[in-house]
Amino acid sequence: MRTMSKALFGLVAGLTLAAGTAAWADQDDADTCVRSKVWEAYPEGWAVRTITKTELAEAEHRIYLLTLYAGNEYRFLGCGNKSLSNVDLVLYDADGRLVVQDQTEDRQPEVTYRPTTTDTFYLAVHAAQLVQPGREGKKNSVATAVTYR
Amino acid sequence: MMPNWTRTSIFAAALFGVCACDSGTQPAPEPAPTPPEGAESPGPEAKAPAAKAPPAQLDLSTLKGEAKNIALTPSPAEMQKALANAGIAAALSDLVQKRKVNMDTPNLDRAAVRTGVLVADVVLTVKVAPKEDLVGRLKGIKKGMTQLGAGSDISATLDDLVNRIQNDAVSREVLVRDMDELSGVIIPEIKYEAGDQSVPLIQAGSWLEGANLVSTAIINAGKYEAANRLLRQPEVVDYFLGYVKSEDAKAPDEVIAKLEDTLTKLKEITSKEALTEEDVKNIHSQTDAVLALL
Repeated sequence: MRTMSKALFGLVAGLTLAAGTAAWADQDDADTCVRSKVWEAYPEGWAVRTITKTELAEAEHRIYLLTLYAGNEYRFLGCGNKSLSNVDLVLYDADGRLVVQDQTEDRQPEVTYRPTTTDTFYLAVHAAQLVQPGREGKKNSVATAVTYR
Repeated sequence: MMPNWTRTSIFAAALFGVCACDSGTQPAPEPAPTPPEGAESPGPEAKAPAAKAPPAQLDLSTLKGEAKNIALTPSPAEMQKALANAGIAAALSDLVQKRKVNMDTPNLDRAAVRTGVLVADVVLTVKVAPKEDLVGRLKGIKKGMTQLGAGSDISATLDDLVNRIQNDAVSREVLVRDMDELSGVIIPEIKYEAGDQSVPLIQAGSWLEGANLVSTAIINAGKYEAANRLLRQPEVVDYFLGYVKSEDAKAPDEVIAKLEDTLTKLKEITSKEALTEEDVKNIHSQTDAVLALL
């Protein structure tokens, strides 16, 4: 009886640890992905302004306000965790007009833009689609980087 | 062997990977129209265009209402890049003063602003500053971080950086990336015991130092027409002002009162349609005055 209890405790503890590790790994996946893209681009002259991360359910979005300098070239990078099949990036100007959007159907979108005037812009990050649709409400990590050169 | 910057990145990711994340709650609405004429298409880095459904179009009120400010403020290094792109050859690193920043202050808001100034100085001078100057600035940042209750992880990261610099165990190119990461990734992610205003006030210190140096460069070059693209950032100033005026802010001391006064004037100036020579000189004198109090 005691052995069985210990075995059960071990199983529960193991599952809890595994679930926790999986959740962390899931969250870390997006972060690691975007960081590696940022650091790999340094030899090409890109530098990072910021990297940030959010948790989004399918079809949710997060918006970031940005100041962009005229003449600088900007590249926005997104990485969703492995539960996401499609993440979208959309850049709007200060008046809410769409400026540029990514053209891919994957979880690692990128867009580049060179403003002609220094101004504020809005960058929207969309968790467009899950690998397994229907898991409504499940939050997924999406990391976003603002880089420039 | 793993490069130092990679090691630092992994270290930082491990330390701060579970960051101050926010959670989105807004479902995506209707599809977007095509981009306006003149919009730059995605660069060669983007994968091959496909006939995908456009992402959701968000209206201006949604954009304004939901936008987060975490990525709003340009980095000091980005200011340098913008300066060069505006045709001003000056190196901001040459204009950074060897100021004695007193980090012993009981006022945590002041400590945050001072820390931000040092962060800007270290980012701008990392390629060229003598070793002892870099180390001194990093130690000042560590002291500020400690005052703000940033935790032991950032102290360990800064100690590691100082040791590598002192032992010549890191190249300046690697340090550039390390400082960008410190300024743009690690510091904004930390939760400070001093409160949520710590990050905006650190950013305010960095931006004020950067704006002061940029205005100096414009004045020295006599290229006042570049001011519109380099200094006209009313939303950034407004963002900082919101925290300086915040009810959560501690009782303002002399420096914070001066900072609020300066930011109020800067907001008025940077909101103009076009900046003049007088405006640039005013920005310079206003930022000079607040930085001198530090």
